[in-house]
Amino acid sequence: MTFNDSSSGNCPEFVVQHTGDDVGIALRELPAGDVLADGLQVGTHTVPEAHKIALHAIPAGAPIVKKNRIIALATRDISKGDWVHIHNVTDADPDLHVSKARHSSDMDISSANLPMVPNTFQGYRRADGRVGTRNFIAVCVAGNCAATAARRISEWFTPERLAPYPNVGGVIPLTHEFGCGMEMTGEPMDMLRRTLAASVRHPNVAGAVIVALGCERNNIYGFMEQEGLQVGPALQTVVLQEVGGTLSAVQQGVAAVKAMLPEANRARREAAPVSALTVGVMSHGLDGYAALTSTPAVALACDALVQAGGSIASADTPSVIRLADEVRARTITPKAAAPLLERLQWWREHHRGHDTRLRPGRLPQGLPTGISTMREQSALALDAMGHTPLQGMVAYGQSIPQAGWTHVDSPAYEAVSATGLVASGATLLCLATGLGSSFGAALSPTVKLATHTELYRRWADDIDLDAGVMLNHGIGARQMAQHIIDAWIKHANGEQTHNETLGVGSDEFAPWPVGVLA
Amino acid sequence: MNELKNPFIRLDPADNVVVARTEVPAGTAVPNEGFTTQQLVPPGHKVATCPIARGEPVLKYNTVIGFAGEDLVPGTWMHSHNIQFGDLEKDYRYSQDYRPLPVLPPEQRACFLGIVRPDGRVATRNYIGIFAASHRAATVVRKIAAAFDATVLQTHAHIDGVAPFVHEQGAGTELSGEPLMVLRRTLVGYIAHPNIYAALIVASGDEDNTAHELLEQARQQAGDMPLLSLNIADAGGTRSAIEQGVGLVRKLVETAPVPERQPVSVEHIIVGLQCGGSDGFSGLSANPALGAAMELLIANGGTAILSETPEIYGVEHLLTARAVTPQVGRKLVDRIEWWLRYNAGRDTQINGRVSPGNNAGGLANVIEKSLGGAKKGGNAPLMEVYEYAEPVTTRGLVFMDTPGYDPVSATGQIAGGANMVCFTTGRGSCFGSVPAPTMKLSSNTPMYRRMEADMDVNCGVIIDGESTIPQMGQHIFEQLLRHASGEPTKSELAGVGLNEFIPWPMGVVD
Repeated sequence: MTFNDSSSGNCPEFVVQHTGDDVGIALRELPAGDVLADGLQVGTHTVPEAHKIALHAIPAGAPIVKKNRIIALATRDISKGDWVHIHNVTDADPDLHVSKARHSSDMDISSANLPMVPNTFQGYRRADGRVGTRNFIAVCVAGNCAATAARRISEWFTPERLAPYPNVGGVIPLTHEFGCGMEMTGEPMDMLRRTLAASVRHPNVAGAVIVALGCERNNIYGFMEQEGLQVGPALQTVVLQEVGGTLSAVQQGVAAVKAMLPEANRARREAAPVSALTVGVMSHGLDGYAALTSTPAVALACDALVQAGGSIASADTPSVIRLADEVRARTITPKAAAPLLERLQWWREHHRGHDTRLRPGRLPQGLPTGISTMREQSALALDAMGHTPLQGMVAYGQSIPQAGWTHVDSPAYEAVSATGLVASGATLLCLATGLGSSFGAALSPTVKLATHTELYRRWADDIDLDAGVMLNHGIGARQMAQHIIDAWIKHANGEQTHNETLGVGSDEFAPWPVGVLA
Repeated sequence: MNELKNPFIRLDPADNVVVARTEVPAGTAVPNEGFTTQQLVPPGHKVATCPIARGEPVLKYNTVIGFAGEDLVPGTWMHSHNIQFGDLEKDYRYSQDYRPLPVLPPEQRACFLGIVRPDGRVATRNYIGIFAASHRAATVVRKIAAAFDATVLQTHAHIDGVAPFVHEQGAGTELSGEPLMVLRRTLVGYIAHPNIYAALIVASGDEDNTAHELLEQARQQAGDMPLLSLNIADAGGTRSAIEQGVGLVRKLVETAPVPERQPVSVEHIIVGLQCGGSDGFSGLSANPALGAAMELLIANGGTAILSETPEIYGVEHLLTARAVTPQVGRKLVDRIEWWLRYNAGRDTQINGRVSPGNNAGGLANVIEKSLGGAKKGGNAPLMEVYEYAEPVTTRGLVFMDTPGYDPVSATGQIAGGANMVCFTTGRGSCFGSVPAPTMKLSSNTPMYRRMEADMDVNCGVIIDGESTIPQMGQHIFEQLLRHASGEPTKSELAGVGLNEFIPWPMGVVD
């Protein structure tokens, strides 16, 4: 079994990802005391599958290097062959930027190594030149007080009622908990407005109805003016206090959506350049397997799409914070890196005094198999973005202006980060998971990928792809990356992802709440 | 001029403003008051009745609501453009105005038809609740509940519904401290609520608000109620979790006893007081009428929870003076001071600016809004101050610290045990709540007529001169008892209440 991106000695029982690493990753359970193929003897504790084994002695306080970067510090003396995990390591202080720099030319990304990407996909070309992967009508709310009306409007459009409009993928409610009782001006309102506006303007949205109560702090008229939105055939508003309440608003909203359906149904998929695709690359609960499966495969898929002129977007700024030096080194110019580095200061302020996973020593949610520190998990997320340079950062919900890799500032929590990725322009999402996930975004299809086969089987209804075949069936990273590209294209072309089949999405629109309540 | 034909309402002899009942054109003479309107005055807005010098206090209900921004002649339209929001002197006079409100002996108390639970608490509705431990369980919770729609429940008419309680928290949140504590306390308060007969908790398996912790706390507070849980990861994903959840809830539905409503004392009613979409009339009609109804409720042994802390800011001294003890009064002042720190530097209403709707309705600033809002509690003494979603155990008028944001505020009150919510509105809120129903009171007749399908009581008749505050208070009290006894409110008929469960989100998202 070989892995394209590990350069040093392999043996069937564990993998070493880079020369000079302190740890290898166990490919199977390594019983205590066993002598492994290359003479390494397992220590006094069994090393579970996908966990780490020390390749040599590591003194207490010394850094632990995995894939050529520091992922932890030893909290006690570690002997050669010992199981390395939370009992003997801790997170490096995030201010200790001592990562060994990794260069983007770490790997040869000439075409011979990359999966093939078709020149075109079948998308919906919009008037502004952007291309959608879906064709929805959205029913959005300015504030929570209109949420029930908005949901009832969208629920009216059952599959039977939409049957005469086969080219309309659905009527999607975009409800949330905010819009009133919040700061009237400033970042919280600007961010909410930007996210709502970008969502109703999304290339996957053929038409939208915005529903408001009428007295909310996110005043609908102020909102539309600030965001340059204008009422027209594809954008209508319903204000409960103007039309006489809930039932009347539902009636009017249903009528407004009905009026949009014929035109929305005229949209057809046509060949569009694959460079028009923007894939949001996410993760939830990456585990020890991810280093060997989903991360290298997704990385090659990202490289291939970028080489074909497409866009990939990362979210999860906390992961960037943990590897700030490395991310800065990978950004295309210092000027492009500046906004990101400035924003990291905002993050430190925003989290100061709060017990979040940005605090050194905190462990990942759900503690996925074989992950010992947040830094280790964050490294897996960042590595999955591939080997091309980071072009820059956009604010949450702000339009991505360029091809290549862009970072969308957002938290790690998947519903909030996905909402931002989509608002920033992602027309497809790819989510790798080691813990299992039901997630799917409201407006863009989410292709989910399991890091190991046992997980894929357990979550077979929810997860689309199994990267575990790289461990079980000798499939290499390039071949898996080809599976991923093929899946991205087929789902972009209209085939439903598992989350779409299950109807997951209408509860996942979650704009990032950054302010205080009033 | 006949008082009822006077287009303006005078609230207190000491006031230097009066309030327009309807839109009043410029140039309208008002001989009683001795002025002619200088501009058009929108309904619910104010007019100066005498010369007011720049910097002089503006008095409404004989309370300072701000200071004149410039020299004003009589008849000038007064609003946020010429009323400055300024620092006010605060004299808390702790307990100096405390007068106990006489409570009727038990045998004389009014009754309603309530559902008596095994532990003696009384419910006003009978729901099965499905609770998401975190946002990750939201879709599964909704889809389980959706399997039990009206047709399915037709044969189980004694169950008011299978209600989903979903929210956006519990995952990617702070790992310890207030945010998680408040979320748990709120969820547990709902699970243990007398209106919830049985509950199913659904967790994804990897959230911060673990099902284990939640179940433990719920068991402690909820006693013997049927309480089940489901883990999506263990179930094998979305589809299996929904199937299993539907199976579990079906059993709960089929084995639910048919509760009989029986006459019980009104002392078992706990009302959460809310105002939303307030206008200039709210403090003149609906709020004082609700206050009169609450005095009746309290006289009959019941409880009213006043909340929305930023919306009593500026008039908290009226409440501290009526506090049963200075310690209770001090707790209220502590909460106000917390709010000033929590909102420091932010463009929120405690720093002056009310919502666009409030403003259009005639409220110049938060002090004026608070003055009207605080009337919802009538003149009852303040018996206790609670934190958000804390169980309310004291009878009478109590205060619970909540944001002004209505769904968050009502969620805290219901978590604390409110089994009814009374909600006044001027602009026309369409709010509703589950499992405790909301009855809505309009402050003015034009809005009531426009939004009658959402409004339960029209207090605009007070503005129209057709009823008095005490008369409306009695009317509201009687209707409250009917709704508590099972008569659906307009929001229940409209199916509103399943998107309004919002525990106070206190932390940062990870």
